[in-house]
Amino acid sequence: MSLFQVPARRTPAGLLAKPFQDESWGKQLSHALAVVCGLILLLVLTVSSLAAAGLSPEQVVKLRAAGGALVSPDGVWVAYTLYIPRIPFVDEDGRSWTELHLLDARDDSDRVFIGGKTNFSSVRFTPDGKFLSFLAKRGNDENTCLYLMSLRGGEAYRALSHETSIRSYSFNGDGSRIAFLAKEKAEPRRKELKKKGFKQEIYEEEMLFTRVFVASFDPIAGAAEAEMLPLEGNVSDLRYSPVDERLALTLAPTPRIDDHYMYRRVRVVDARNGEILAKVENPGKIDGLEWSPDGKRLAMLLGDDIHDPSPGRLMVAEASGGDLTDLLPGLFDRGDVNYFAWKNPQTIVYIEALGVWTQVGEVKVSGRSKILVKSGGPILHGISLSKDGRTMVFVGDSPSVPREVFLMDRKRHQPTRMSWSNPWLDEVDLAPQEVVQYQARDGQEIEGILIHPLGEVQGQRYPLVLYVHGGPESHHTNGWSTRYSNPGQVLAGRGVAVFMINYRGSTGYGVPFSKADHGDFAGAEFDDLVDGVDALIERGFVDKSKVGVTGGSYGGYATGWLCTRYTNRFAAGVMFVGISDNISKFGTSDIPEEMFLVHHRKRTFDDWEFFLQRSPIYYAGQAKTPLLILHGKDDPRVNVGQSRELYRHLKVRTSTPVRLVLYPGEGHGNRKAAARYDYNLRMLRWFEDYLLGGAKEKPPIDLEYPLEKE
Amino acid sequence: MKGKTQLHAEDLNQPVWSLSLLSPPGGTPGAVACPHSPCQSVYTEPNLSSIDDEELTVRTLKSFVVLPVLPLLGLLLLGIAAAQAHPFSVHDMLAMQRISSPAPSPDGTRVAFVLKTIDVEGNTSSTDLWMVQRDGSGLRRLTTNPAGDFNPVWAPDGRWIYFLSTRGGSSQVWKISLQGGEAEPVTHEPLDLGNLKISPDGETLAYTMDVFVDCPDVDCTVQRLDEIAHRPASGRIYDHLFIRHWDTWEDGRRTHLFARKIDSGPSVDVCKGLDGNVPSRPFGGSEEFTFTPDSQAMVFSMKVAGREEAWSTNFDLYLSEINSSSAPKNLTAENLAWDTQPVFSPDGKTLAYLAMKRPGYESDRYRIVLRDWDSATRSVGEARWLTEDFDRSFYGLFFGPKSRYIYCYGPNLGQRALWKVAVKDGKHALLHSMGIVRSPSFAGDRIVFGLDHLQSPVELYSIATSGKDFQRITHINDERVAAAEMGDPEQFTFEGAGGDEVYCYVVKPANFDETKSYPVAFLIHGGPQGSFGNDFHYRWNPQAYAGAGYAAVMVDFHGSTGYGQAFCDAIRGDWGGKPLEDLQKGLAAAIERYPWMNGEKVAALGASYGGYMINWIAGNWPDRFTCLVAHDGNIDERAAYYQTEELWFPEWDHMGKPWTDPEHYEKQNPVNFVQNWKTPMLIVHGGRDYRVDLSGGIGSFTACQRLGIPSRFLYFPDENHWVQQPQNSILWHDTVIGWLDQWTK
Repeated sequence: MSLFQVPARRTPAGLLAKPFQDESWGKQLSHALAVVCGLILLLVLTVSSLAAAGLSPEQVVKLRAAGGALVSPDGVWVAYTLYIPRIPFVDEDGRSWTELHLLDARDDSDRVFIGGKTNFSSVRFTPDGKFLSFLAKRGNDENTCLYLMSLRGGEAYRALSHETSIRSYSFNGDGSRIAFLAKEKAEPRRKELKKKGFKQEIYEEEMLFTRVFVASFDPIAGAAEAEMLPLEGNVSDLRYSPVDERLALTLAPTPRIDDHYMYRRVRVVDARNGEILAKVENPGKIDGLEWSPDGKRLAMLLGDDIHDPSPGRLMVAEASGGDLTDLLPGLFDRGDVNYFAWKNPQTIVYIEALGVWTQVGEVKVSGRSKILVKSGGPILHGISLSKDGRTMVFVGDSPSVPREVFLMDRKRHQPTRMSWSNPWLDEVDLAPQEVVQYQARDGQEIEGILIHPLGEVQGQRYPLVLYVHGGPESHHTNGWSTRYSNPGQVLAGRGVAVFMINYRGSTGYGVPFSKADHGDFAGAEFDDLVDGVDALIERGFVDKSKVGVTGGSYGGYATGWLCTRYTNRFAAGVMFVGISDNISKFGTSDIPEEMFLVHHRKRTFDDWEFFLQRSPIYYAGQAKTPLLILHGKDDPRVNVGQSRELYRHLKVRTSTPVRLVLYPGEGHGNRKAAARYDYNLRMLRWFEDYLLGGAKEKPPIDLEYPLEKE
Repeated sequence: MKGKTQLHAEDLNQPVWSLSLLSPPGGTPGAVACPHSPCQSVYTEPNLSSIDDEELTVRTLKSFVVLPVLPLLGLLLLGIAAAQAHPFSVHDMLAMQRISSPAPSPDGTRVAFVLKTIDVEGNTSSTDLWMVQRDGSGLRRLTTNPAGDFNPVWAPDGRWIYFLSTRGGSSQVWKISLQGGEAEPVTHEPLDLGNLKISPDGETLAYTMDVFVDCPDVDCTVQRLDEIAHRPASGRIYDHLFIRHWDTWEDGRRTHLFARKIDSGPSVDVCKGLDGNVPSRPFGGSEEFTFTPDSQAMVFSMKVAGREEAWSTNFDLYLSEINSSSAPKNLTAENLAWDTQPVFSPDGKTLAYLAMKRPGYESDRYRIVLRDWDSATRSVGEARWLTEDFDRSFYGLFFGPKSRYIYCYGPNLGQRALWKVAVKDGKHALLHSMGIVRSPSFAGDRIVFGLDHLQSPVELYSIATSGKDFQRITHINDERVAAAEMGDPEQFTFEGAGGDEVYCYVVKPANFDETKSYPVAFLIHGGPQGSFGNDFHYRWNPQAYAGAGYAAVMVDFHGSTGYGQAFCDAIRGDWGGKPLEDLQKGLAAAIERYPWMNGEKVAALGASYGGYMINWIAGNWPDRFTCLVAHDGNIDERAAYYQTEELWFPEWDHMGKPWTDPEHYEKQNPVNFVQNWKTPMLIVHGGRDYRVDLSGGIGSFTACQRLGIPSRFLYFPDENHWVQQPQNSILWHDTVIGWLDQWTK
């Protein structure tokens, strides 16, 4: 399942570093001193009092984070996007705004290039490095269009529009041609009928395919009339050859998301007529597809086989077709590649996830590799390289710093922080974060990230909340994790430890580990979570009567599971967009094949009993754990019925406190500011009431929003 | 009628008006200097005017009877595209992109400007900021927002351009970096801003807002407007004139000048409670105020006339310290005529401005006046009338970098010329006299200005301070100009009323063939203190008639500007006299001169004063024309006095008030000759024309209908004294040319 994963890997990938100086360490030390001095004061504060310290929910609301960063071909400019959350009660509700910043690598100056309350995506430098291009719907645009903006000054102008929204684009080597993806236009009659009240939707059959269009292009005059290439199937991952009129792309049989995940296959086509010139038969999932600078090879991130839950193998194939070569076979059972970029026709720079860390490496197409930036520094995402390959740009985060821009070049030999998007955060006391290892009951080594309670006193036992990641094909890293759905530093500031476990099935540890949960969902994988709690209890650190759990998506499934099957172990749960019934899940999700191929490995209808018994509703009758369930009403992935079922089971079969909160207009995860803030406050209050306060009665249905009074 | 032949009306794209008028309201930036009436100008070949001649060009030009008027560039372009060119029409006119507000960078290397594009289909227009190197290279667009972006001003360090934009829903100050990046908001005032300027030290912005003068702050104005908007009764009470002006009913607010530190701080009302407008309504712009050299105070032109506002022209210059509560000081109290356009010399020692001498006369000659400026005592010295002996009236002025010369421009024999005048002794030299010079200013060591003529809309040019080395900067409209076949203009002179020399422009039909015979469109300009000269007009463009197969003939009759003050003054008390004689003689001279003109097929057209003249012709020259077109014209001068807004105008031109001097009104009054009317007439009128009330057009139509004269009435409910909306412009041209074709072909 794919929403609560490590962020999309769309950004061109990156490189090197020396151990990242984590500012939080110095602060933690001095904080520890302060803690000793203030011991008496701390003794007065009982753990159950949620005294406001550390990061507040209102600060979480305004956290800014870099999205992606790109370096110009000449290595001088770094363009990066910054997410600017809307502030409830101040801004109109909605998703975050985006800003585009331009950093001058020569003097480190940073300025807003596109500001104001706006959104755009797919930012690139044009091949000549003189313009920035991006996709946006601005002004009177009916659809998303391609815009260009000169680096010499002047506002963005529309360079390409189409009868439907442009979804992605790629320039050829000299920028004189552009290929782009856009959906077919819906039949106009359908639109007219809709206005007359005929709004019926035909499930899964009203598919509009994404097609490739090609046009000649001039940065000033814009694009000429585009021609559609006659390709069978739904197109994604479009890349124009840097040297000639070939396009690399993937074709899926239909636009359905299930096919998109599982059945995209790589093709090389003639940009002039759509003739298929070569095929690369990738066995399963794919992410990232890039031409070598000489146009001879294609590199891509692939699943090892059709059952590999994540595309983490860095593979190369001749652009003329033929076999795939895994460039980093040694990583197979240790980690995954998340991002890459070609440095030259022979060399690829990549970021590998190695457990909770990332490393930057360089590998020749011959297979020789070396590590450029060792683990221990910031967690890096995305790589962008200058034309000479000597300047590398990433976004990265650390336990105390949400995503910022990092740069390595001739002057800076390790990833060096270039942006300061939340300067106020330096003044906030943050709790220390620790990488924890333990053995599960079957001896499996498991890793997790523990955020200690702020002002922890040795020997004292603390409440604990497990935050469980989704996927399950994703993993926690030793970086920044606190957000509206992850209580991390906020709970830590209130004297609660937060533990994030990379249970089996997680990515970042190689293919065998990520497949270790196959056919055994909610089995050993969630036992790992319970074992993790036990490991901390053994350390004498956790008050075992005060353990809570939360998570979304697959993490919501875990939450539902632990609060029913293991209800005795958990004092409170907050379940978000989670699975409660694997039988009904099959028929109501948009990714049944993906779930079958990369997780369940058996069909619901071949083993009803198993699917039933691995469902939280099955154990709902014994549940004593007060459970707050939250769900976006428009979730296509995990149907909102999953939350309704568990709610009804608990209501009918138990007297356990349960509340179901639905968010209209939200899907598989909340995107709008008010729904995020509300979610965060409700989660915190639930833990405050049931984990720390031992509440007898449910909290009122309404909330106080401190931001309303500001 | 005349609406002040106003200074810088070309920069009208600065909204004094509200948002309801679509983005940057205003007329046509880049069009017309005589706002309400057709006034154009002539063109002479650049090399014909002796550039360093200390004498008036009038003399130089006098020796030429006929001035061939084909601009070289136009010729070349026409040559290039002759193959696919089509005859010029209103659609070509609307397709032209209109340059205005050229703003050279502080280092003089670049010029920012406003480009207005008409969206015919959407019946609207939009303006954006553009930039070009002074040498013409590197043309690029700076702003792209669909809302209006206009009024660019440079930060003194050249890193930012501040400008006004309606992109945020109201007109506010924004800024854009010249190093890249999108525009950022600077102000968030609750009212629309207009007329932006920046102080010499770059720390203070000045702009205008419409406020209630008795309100202590802007919020009070906002609240009162809100209260008014929510009153259930819509009636309004007035205790004095104006009750309406140009196209707007007065709402009790005044346009006041505000100053604000760029980075923060409240807006300070620089006018401090004075009961007047800065800039003047309806056409004034930011040229009517300036910062003192130390950036601490402002000097602005305002008429504080109380209940006499509608008949006074006594604008004065006021000095107001920005951060002081003391009342603004009147610097020109002794002059009861018009004082405006203050500018300080770069050396900070001199205040220069334009001033008239005759109170109550808006078309008096603007002279350049100098006053010593003492920054320490905040006072000015005695007035020195620098151009008293130079018989030209100026639209604007600016100092040279060394403070030794003042550069000025104004109407000149059908052109709008550029001169320089020595501060020392008032000696002047003509620098440029071809076409219409617009918004000139210094860019480094050269002067940059907009220039249009009968065959080209405004493009940017530069010239050396010697008047030599005339260079073109932009070619924004080259393709559109080349695509439209235009007629060739010629200017000639004839002996008019009183034996005076009178100038006349002729534009030949497009695709002219001298072996053929062509009907004539006889165009009569408004004002009457205006001119149909060598400009590219966006409402009365002779090329529209040339493209339709007519010869356009335009006489600059007595009363026209650019021919000396006596010639302009000569129309006073004689609206129907010398001008009519000039028109009669001029038409005869043209037909005699150009045998290919069909003297039997002549239609006469005019707007404003030109519309009055059509009504006058209908009763006093009824046998000459195949048909007439009267646009926004008075039929009854006596009634018109009681209906119009700016009373100083008829009181001067008709030498009194209808009850004190009724004979002057009656002598010139078309309504007294209706019994003679017989020529088919098309009457056009705008419903929001408060200068010439709608009753004028209705009166003419009523007369025609009751007399049984073939007639048609074209009414524009939402146009003012000018027809500006693109679709209305098309309807206007289709109807007018259709009327001509019906009676004249």
